[in-house]
Amino acid sequence: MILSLLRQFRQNKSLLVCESDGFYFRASVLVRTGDELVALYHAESQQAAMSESVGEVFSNLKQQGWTGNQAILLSPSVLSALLELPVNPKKPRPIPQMKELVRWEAEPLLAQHTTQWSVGNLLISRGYMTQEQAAAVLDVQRGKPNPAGGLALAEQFSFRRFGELAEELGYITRSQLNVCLAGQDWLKTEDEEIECGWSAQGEVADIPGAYHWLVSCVNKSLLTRWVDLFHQHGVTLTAMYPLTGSSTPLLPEDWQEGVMLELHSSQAMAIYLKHGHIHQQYLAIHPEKSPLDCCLESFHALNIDSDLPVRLALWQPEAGLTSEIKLALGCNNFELLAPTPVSETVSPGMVGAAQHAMLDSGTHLLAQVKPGGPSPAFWQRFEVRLGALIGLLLILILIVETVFYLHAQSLAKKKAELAQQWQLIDKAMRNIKSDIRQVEQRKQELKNKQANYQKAKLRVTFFGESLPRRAELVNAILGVLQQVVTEDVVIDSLDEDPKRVTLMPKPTLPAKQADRVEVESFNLKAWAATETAAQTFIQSMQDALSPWDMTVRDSQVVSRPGPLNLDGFAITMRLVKLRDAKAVKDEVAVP
Amino acid sequence: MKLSTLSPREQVIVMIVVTVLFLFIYGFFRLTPLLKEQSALNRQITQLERKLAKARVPDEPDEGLESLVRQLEEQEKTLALLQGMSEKVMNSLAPEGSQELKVMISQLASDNKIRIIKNESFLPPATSPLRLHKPQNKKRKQVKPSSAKALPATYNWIQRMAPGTPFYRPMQRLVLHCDYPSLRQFIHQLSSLPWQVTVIRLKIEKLPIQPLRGTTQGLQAELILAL
Repeated sequence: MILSLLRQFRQNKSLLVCESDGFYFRASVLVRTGDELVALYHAESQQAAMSESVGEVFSNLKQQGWTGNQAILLSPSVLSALLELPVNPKKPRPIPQMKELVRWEAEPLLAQHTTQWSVGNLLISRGYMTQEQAAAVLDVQRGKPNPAGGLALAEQFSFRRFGELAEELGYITRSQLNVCLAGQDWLKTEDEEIECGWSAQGEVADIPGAYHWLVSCVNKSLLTRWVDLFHQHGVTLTAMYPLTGSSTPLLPEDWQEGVMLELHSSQAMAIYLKHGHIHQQYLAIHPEKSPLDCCLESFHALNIDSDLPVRLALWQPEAGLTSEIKLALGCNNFELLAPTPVSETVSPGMVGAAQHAMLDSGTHLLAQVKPGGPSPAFWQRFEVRLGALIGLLLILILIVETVFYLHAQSLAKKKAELAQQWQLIDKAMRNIKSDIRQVEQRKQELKNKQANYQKAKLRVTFFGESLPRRAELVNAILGVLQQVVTEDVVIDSLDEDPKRVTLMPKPTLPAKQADRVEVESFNLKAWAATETAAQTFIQSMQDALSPWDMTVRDSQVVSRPGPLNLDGFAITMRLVKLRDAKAVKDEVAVP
Repeated sequence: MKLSTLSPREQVIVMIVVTVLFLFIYGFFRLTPLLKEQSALNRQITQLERKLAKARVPDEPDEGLESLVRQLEEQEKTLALLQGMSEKVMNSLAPEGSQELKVMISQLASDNKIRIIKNESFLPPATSPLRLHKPQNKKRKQVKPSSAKALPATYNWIQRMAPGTPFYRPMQRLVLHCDYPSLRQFIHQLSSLPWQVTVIRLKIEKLPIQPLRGTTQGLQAELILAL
């Protein structure tokens, strides 16, 4: 199904189908419309030189509107033969091997077939001379006695060419000979190398393992000559077909058994189909005989039952000839095979070959000869295999690309999701950090303000309270001294040196006073006349200072001479003001 | 050379070469960059996953910003109130370098029949008062004067009011010869001056000269006044 679609796709929509017997050249452009063919343009020419005929026909067709470049050619130089080969179609041999087999069998047949295109036969077929005249020329050539001259003539003409002899004997003119020689150039060649094509048929009945193979073959140099000629006019000759026997694709597909007769001027081909395969075929070429005789010869050469259905492919059918053939064959199931577009200008062989080339209809009933030989089966072709390999690689790449694309998509999606999550978290973190910064900033601001407040408060307290209290304390001490000093006591000095008097070890303070610190300290030195006066003085100082929250510390009374060298007692003491250590510390604490 | 004329072995070789060439070109120019790209993408994803795993959202601050702003405003008001009081207190102090106050002090001494031996500006000892309490610390930190803290009352007044401290005031050292009552009178009358003058150090000694009978003992007093 897919293959047929592919084939349809690659097949050309239009094809130039050419036909030539070496003397004339005609061509029709057939166009495929669905499963049918339609003839569009037609041209023909019968120039003395084939190249001129071809050029004239192609230019004519192009003038009519043909723009294609693909062509096939039907020629009598292509031999169609049915060979028996020990090759099973289901197990085909490689093409080179098959080619050798076919060539081995077909070469002698083609050589025999080529003898049909001798100058004598061509002169007879063209009607330039009779069979008797040709026999006379041959007799002269072979030295046989004849009424024309006998042995002397034989010695004179035995090494002469047939055409020249015929001309000299006055049977033909020089121009007639030249025409035949020009036509012969396109029908036969001295080259023995052949090009062939084949198509498998059914098994040979009597020989197990042998199969019929329908073979078409032509001299390779002849094929090349045609290809080159077409190429000169920008047309590619894709295949050559036999002139007779190419109508088989016109047979109905369900036609399993019967005889097809194809008549083309002086050639008649009878093909016997059995089980849908060509079982026998016979080609009769007799330029001197009537078409009816040729037809009957080929039919009877098959040696088959006359009750079989017969289809007649006849170009330019004449009612008389058709009925004559039917009557001569005595066949009840007899029909003319002339479907559209078979007409006066398009022969059944041309249509059959076109169907074979364009529609693949009845493929196995016809074999074509392609330049370069038959193409291998579709999947056997290297180009196809290479294409398939590249296709597989491309599919592999497509799969890999798809997998990578999907993987990349999933990765990109995952990355996008993660990035989105990160953005959310980052944003939240930034917001919170910003809040924290602002709070810290405000806290610091508040702390600074509190510090400023504390400093201001300290200044207010210091200058507004502490210093006035200090002034009061100094006045109070001076006042106390004035009150407590008696006549027995003399004050030597009052000093505010911060250094302590270290005459005595520091007394152990009661627990209540341990956490109190000295904030004011005055060293007092005095002299008393008596020890009692000294102690009284200390006691008086203690009493007088207690309202000021001061106390006497490190008091000491030592015997020492005083003023005027009088015996007395030196007094030393410290007047200190104590305050709670924590309160003192907190007083100047700034946050 | 037509492809169809190649032998099967040559065809196989051509196909292998085409396949290898095809795969090499595809692998080198397309697959390798693609793999690198995906590898880079994978790395980025791993890095993002690590970042996400390590990411810790900090706790929101306990205190609200509005509450802090309110506190600040309240603090501002309190400070403004205190500033008023501070200005009032500071107005009771003489302007820095005021000669008028020194004249008044001299006049007051003279009024009390006190002989001024020395009347000079007093600069606290070169040793920074801040360092006085620092030797106790093993780690000595250089404290900037601007950020110097107020010294507690355990320090003497000179130290507490030294330059560089928050309570700095100019100081005046007076050495006086006088008797006790006039000295007391003089110190007492200092508080009646228009600006606040405080005796922050007091040292009184007897003069070595014995007073005559019926006369008062002469004293030498050294006063350091905070102006």
